Formats: sequence, C-alpha cells, structure tokens
Amino acid sequence: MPKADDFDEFYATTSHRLVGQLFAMTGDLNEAEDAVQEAYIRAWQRWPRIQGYHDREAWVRTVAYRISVNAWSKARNRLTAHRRASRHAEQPEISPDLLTLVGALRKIPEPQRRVIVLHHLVGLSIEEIAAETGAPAGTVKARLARGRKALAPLVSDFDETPSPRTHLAGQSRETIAHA
Amino acid sequence: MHDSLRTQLSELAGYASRNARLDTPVALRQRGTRRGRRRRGGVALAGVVAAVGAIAGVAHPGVTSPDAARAPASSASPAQLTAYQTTVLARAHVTKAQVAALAKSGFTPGQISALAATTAQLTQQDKKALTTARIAAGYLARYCTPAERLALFHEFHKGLLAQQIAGLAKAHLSPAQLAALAAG
Repeated sequence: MPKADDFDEFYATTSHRLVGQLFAMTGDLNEAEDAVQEAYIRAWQRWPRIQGYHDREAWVRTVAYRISVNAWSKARNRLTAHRRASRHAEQPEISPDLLTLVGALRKIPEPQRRVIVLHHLVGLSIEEIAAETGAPAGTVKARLARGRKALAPLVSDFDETPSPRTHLAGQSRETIAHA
Repeated sequence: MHDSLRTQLSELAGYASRNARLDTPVALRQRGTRRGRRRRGGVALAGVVAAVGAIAGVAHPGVTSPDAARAPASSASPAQLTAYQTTVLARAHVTKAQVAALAKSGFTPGQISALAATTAQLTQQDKKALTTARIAAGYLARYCTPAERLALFHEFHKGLLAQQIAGLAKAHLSPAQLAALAAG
C-alpha cells in the first residue's frame, strides 16, 4: 500500500505551483487545473515508483503538459473544464498586463512556449529542459531564442537580448534561481 | 530585459496559483484507486491484450498485411495499445478472435473504417432489415478483393456486429497493432 501521507504532502507543496506553470504553458486556468489533477492521479497510481524519483515534480509537470497537449485529452479536458467553470462562474479578475502576456504566449507555438516557461519561470537550465522535453540542447536554445523574439513585440517592457543563462548549460536550478 | 519576462511570468503563475481550485489529495487518491480497480476488474480485453503481448513478434505464416509489413518492427508490440483503444474495443465487445480474424484476412485500418462507414449507412437505411448478407454486400462490392470477400463473409456468419466493426474503426488500430493481434 503506497504511503498516502507522502503523497498528500507532495501534493500540498507542489500542486498550486504546477498549476501556475501549466497555466503559463496553456493559457487556460481550468484546463491547467484539470491537467495537473489528472497528472497527480496518475502519479498516485504509480506512487511506489515515483516516490523514489529525484525530481517528482518534473514528472508530474511533464505528464500534465502531455495531457494538456494531447488532442483527445484536450477535448475531454475542455468539456470537464467547462463543467467546472460553470460550477464556479465567478472567475477572479486578471490584470490587463497579465491578460496581454497570456495572449502573447498563446500566439507563439507550444514547444516555444514550453521552453520559455521552463527557463524563465521554472528556472531550468538548457540541459535540464533538454532532459525534460526530450529535445536536443540545440533545439531548446533555438526555441528559446525564437520564442523570446516572437514575444518581444507583444509584451511590454520586454527587450529581446541574449540571456547569459542560455549559455550556462548544466547549471543547477538553485544556482540559476539565485543568479 | 529577461528579468521583465521572468517577473511577468511569475506574476501570471502567481495569479493561477492563488486562484486554482483543486480537489483535496484524498479525493484524487480515491479517484486514482477507483480507476485502478475498474481497469483491473472491468476490462476483460486488457487481459487479452496482455496475452497477445506475450507472443508479440512471432511471425504468423501467410497473414501479414502489406501495411503491417511496412510498419517498423519496434511498433509491433500490442503493449502499445493505448488505454483509449482498449476501452473502445472492450465497450464494443470486440473479442480477440474477431480482431485477429479481420487482421488475418489482410484488412488494413482504412478498410475497417470503410467497412464501419458502410455498415453505419446500411444501418441507418433500414435497421430491421439489416442482415449480414446486406452488410457484406454493401461493403464487398466496393472495397474487397475476392479473398477478402470470402474471409469477410465468413466472419459475418461468425457474428461480427456492426457495433463491433464501428468499435474497431474507432480504435484507430495501426497496421502493426492489427498484425500483432492477429499473431495472437
């Protein structure tokens, strides 16, 4: 029998953060909530194995992302999200700046959006993103550069210049976060 | 600067984190456990698939369809049947023998889809008068080679229902998956 306490603690400490990251990737809060919850359900079903993973949060994030981009799941998630949204009709207000950012993120391709979020929000290095997405480091760099270039004219106060972090392959997440 | 993008993304994520409405971990665990029970107990076809998986890759003389032959060897494992495919096949009560029989007669997924469409058309025309002969006639005239016609007609007498054919088509089985099931 898997240990429920460990799972509950893991869920409590990471779930809201993951919803934030998924929201930045998908641009839809209800969809992000459903994808993340579905990923946690799958994590629970495999908990004895996942419990031993070095980065369980990355596993849940990857699964949630795949759920959100899977065409069939997407249709089902939208339906569920629609039902949930109709139950909670009142949606908290979002500032115009954030709304602009969501719109801008939606305009760039999904793979670019994903690496932008993983790099700039989650704080992963190029190598870590390559490991999580399964794409070569060069591809990650290219997506990052293209994504930033595409976002530059859409987001206010954002100047597209090369990031020193882009070249810090292999640097740990903690180091990057405090750089 | 990049700090600006990072700040804005953080604000965006913070908004979502603060306003996320998530179920309790207990509720999620219960859903996961319930789903696991259903999967273990309810889907008989999963057992069939597992059994077929044990003998995957074993060549079956004279039954490989052209599409299956073109498929890469690595994709031939029936273990790659998705949960969705398994569920669809199980809901349509498609048995392993029926899938295998269709695959053995060399039907490609495209032909099965065409068969499903023709069957549905015939079903809409006259439900009461739908006979195996009519289903077969509608399909045979358009899509089958003589050998396939014979095999298909034989299968209809075994009782492959329109609903089951539709289930097969809906599952979108790849040629490799069909071939693997046929090998079982």
